[in-house]
Amino acid sequence: MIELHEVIFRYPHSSFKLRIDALQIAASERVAFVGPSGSGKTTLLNLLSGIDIPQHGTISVAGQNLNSMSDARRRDFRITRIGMVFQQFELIPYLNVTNNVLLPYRINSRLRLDGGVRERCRELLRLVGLEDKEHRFPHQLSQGEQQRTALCRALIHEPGLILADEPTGNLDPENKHKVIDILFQQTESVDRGLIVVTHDESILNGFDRIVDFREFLQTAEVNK
Amino acid sequence: MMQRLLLAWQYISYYRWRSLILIGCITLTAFLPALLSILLTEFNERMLTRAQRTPLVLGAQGSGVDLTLHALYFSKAPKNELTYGEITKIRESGLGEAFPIYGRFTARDFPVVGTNLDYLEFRNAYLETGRTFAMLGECILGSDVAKQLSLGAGDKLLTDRENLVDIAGLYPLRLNIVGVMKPTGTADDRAVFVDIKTAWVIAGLGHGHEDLTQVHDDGKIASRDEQHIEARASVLPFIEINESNSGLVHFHGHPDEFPITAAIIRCPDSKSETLLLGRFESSTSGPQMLIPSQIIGDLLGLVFQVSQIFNASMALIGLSTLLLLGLVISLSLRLARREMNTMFRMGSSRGTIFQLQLFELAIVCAISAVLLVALIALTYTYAGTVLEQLVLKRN
Repeated sequence: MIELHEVIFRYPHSSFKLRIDALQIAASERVAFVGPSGSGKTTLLNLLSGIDIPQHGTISVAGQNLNSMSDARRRDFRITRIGMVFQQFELIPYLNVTNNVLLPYRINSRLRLDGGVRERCRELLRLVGLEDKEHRFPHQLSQGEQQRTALCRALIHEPGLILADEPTGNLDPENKHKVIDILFQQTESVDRGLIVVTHDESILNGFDRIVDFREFLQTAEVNK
Repeated sequence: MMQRLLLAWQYISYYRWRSLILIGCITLTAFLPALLSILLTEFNERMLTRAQRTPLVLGAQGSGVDLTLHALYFSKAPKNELTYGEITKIRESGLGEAFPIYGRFTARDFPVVGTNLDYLEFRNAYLETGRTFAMLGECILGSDVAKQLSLGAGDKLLTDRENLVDIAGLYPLRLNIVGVMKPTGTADDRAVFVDIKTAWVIAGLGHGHEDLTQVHDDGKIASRDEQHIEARASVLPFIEINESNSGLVHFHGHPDEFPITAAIIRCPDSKSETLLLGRFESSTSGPQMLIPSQIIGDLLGLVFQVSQIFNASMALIGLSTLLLLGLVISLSLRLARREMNTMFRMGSSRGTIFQLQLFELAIVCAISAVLLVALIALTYTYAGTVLEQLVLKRN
């Protein structure tokens, strides 16, 4: 369960202000955030992942209040409980597909890399059709393959929540639906929450809830 | 920590050319001053040791440095020569022993040193195989010569012609190798030793040819009377001296008039040394007598001054390399900013990211250090040989 209560966030030296009086998202709910650029979708993802902290109000994810956590605990929370997917894939150029997928285990000692994880990595790559490309580097992959690698990286540590920021923004229609299918498949099977920020209305079928930030602005008082 | 190390290694191996350039820069910047220091120390030690083991050097007027280097290292012979008679005079004066050196010739680019057996004893040079030279035309090889030319007792070695285009020049002599010296770690290892008389044969002052009293071919004999036989150029000197023709080798002139390029003098006491030095010091046209340790000391002083200039310039180069390294590292960090941001957003601490950067630098520095140690070890192993071959070779 995700709960936001009377949240106010503003970036330093900026006039932007995000205000949310109340928002609740169920643990296994699949939600799409849609709306114009600059309406605060990505900012909300950053707040939900603990990258940014609101100046006012509380944010609780899976029963844990992010505001009251230390920086270190928030990082640990992020890497153990949340899987992040980025619009530009954000793969590490000097790591091959396997090592990119295993990256969460290399950058935070809370996650232990063992044989089971490696096997899960192979399974995920098989699932997304990259089993024969595990030794390739990002520049040797197509954009669709890069985003599927990024999906595997977000799923490898079996997070309870996936936050995806424009995951199909740079993909052709075929790859777009492939990526969304994988995300749905991976959330359905293990009762995992999914929040996707998107501008693309063609991928909205299948979400449990669509939060349009234009309407949301009125109903939940998200203000700019 | 291992995971971070692995990540750092993957970064370095992916950007291998950039990393190699960085490693090369660090290694060379550290190695060049170390190389100079090792070479200078080794150079000083070797030069001074041999100079200190050589009490006095006698030679014709000219460059004292050239004469000393020739007497000690058989470098190119000085232009002016002195006569063997000078040695005879010193011996007869009872003020010291004299070991002649006639080092004007080479055999396959190694110096051929005409001397006597006392010289080898003076240098504590002993035979490893074979025997010492006993008759004209025989030689013994320094250990490096034998090794590099793959020659040993029983083999032959032809001396080099002084000038390939001078058809009236000296004929080469085929030397019979009768022994090989034990390694000494000195210039003696890279020389071919012959008796002083053999050296004079190479110089054309002595020669052997068929017995002209038994020759009646007008193509070879120009004129003949009861006292003299005048031979034509078609009578060729022996190219090799052996037991069957050694009796026919003869010298035209008295040995005291024959040339030597230098002599090493050993006095029994400091009084005799002072007397000898005084005798030659007052001479302005005759031979000069030098104390090698003084000459080499002056030379090393000059080398030290040059090295100080080199060290100063190396410090500047080192500083500029460090600044460049700083620039390269800051550019690398800037390029990696997006990757670092991704890691941070995924849940990595800034400390971990800093650790990652530190490991990358540490790996580069560690590889450079290993290379540096290997290069220094190689330098220590070969410094002496390289120095003598580069600095003191015959040129």
